[in-house]
Amino acid sequence: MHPAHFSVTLSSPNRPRPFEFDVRALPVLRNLQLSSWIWYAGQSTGIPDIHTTMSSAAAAPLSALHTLTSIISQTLPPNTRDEGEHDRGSSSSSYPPHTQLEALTIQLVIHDYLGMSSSRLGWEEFARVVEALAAVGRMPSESEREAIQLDFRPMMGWETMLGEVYRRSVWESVFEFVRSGTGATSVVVVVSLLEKSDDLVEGLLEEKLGWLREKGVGLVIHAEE
Amino acid sequence: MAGDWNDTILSEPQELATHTQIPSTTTDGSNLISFPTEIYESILDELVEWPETLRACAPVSHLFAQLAQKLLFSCICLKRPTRVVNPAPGEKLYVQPSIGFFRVLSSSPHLAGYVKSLIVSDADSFKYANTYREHRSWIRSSSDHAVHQILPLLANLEELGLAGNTRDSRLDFLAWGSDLRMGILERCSSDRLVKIRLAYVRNVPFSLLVLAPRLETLRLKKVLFISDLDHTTFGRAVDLQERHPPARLKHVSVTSTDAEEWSACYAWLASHLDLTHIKTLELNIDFYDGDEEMIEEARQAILNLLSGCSATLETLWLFMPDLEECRFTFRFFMS
Repeated sequence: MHPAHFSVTLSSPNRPRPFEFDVRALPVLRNLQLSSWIWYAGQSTGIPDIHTTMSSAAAAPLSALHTLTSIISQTLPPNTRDEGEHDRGSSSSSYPPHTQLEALTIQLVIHDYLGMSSSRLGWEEFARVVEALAAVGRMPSESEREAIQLDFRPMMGWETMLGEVYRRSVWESVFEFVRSGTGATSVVVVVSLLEKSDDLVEGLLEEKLGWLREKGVGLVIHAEE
Repeated sequence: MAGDWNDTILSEPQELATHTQIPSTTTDGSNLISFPTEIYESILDELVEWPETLRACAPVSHLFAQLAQKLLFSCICLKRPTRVVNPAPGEKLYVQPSIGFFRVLSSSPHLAGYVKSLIVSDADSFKYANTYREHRSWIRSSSDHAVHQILPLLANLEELGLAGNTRDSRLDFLAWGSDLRMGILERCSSDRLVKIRLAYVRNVPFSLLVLAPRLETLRLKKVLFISDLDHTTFGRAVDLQERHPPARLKHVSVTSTDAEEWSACYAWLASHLDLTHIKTLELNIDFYDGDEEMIEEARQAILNLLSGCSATLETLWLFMPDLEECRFTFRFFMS
């Protein structure tokens, strides 16, 4: 059996320890589903104030993301892992992947609890998270990893900074990750809305969700009535 | 017509030979095509999601009545009373499912043996969110004496669930009548019970979970347990030491947002149940509440649980707790 602790840690040493566990220590695991908030209106500051929350709900849950990237790297098939392995220099190279996994599902949960902040419904965070996951799938070089590490910092106005072209390349990365995963791998986006509004869905949200659908990303929309 | 129809639904079927071809005649005297009973069972099993269709099948023959009854009464959910809109003069203002079901079982006792799953629920639809108050829960209402009378009748019960409401506070187990608590205790002691589901309930004695020797599935959603080592909860002693060997859980699901509640729950489960053979594990543990030490303890509890069942775990659903965020939030509130 492999050692109990292993992770590809993108955090700096002084950060809290990410939530770690070793998938390869679960020898008969066939179906793994991981879920994490990537955006939650009201989560980031703990301040129960609508206006403050809307302006501050930008931080993605770093420790959870680190764990996701760690687990994904453990579950990659060998041919994907070989790419970029030479410059990785990580302890991950001494472990075989978890080849028996039949399904890996990642839920990136965007929760617009307040139902008022859909204009920036965490899509920046979603893009950053997916990019990070996709980067693991492609086995990035050291320089790319440095860039990813920088990109983990909470940023406002991500779309404005990087522009439409790069944003679309992120969605491509999503698709790339899906294809290079463990066969049955899928990415599911769960969008929780306080109310289901046709106007809302047909507007900005519909545009965003449409991109995801085109890329084969599973969509689950929870709407409380 | 409706009366005849209901009579067919509830009536006790004639004794039927199994594994034989049942040509039988239908209730209108026409012949039914002969198929082995298993074929009819398979066909009707496909209709389990369509109770109205099953009800329509029941009057066809005694065989169909029996098969339909088994399916129709296999899963029962007793919900809160509903108010009758524009009741006729003399008509009751409320429909009370528990009392109605008890009357059905009283008039057709054989149906009790068909019940495999019973959920007692105080959940309601979102539109009543502002009016729900736990202290007015129908389950603790003095006017409802049906549930504790129903429970002893369900000798073949395999699943028992208690579901509170997401609004207001969680259902208070200790506020229920002693008869109801004893009824639940007795059901949980049954060697037929394999599944327990608890959601939005508080002050649930831990011992409730260890009484069923064949318990395999445990689903807990925001449940606050209490220790009842003084055995006062049920009015009589519950000797946990006699429960050997501990039940071997195969499917476990836990949802909690309180680090301390989760840690206490895990510690108790680990010491009284066999958690080393879990095949399906669903952990939705988010730490909104708890200081740093509690959060670390809760995190370790998750890892210990995973480690303990690592040899058998086939399906894992894991919510990734954001530990950094928890610490930040806690620091904010403490300051």
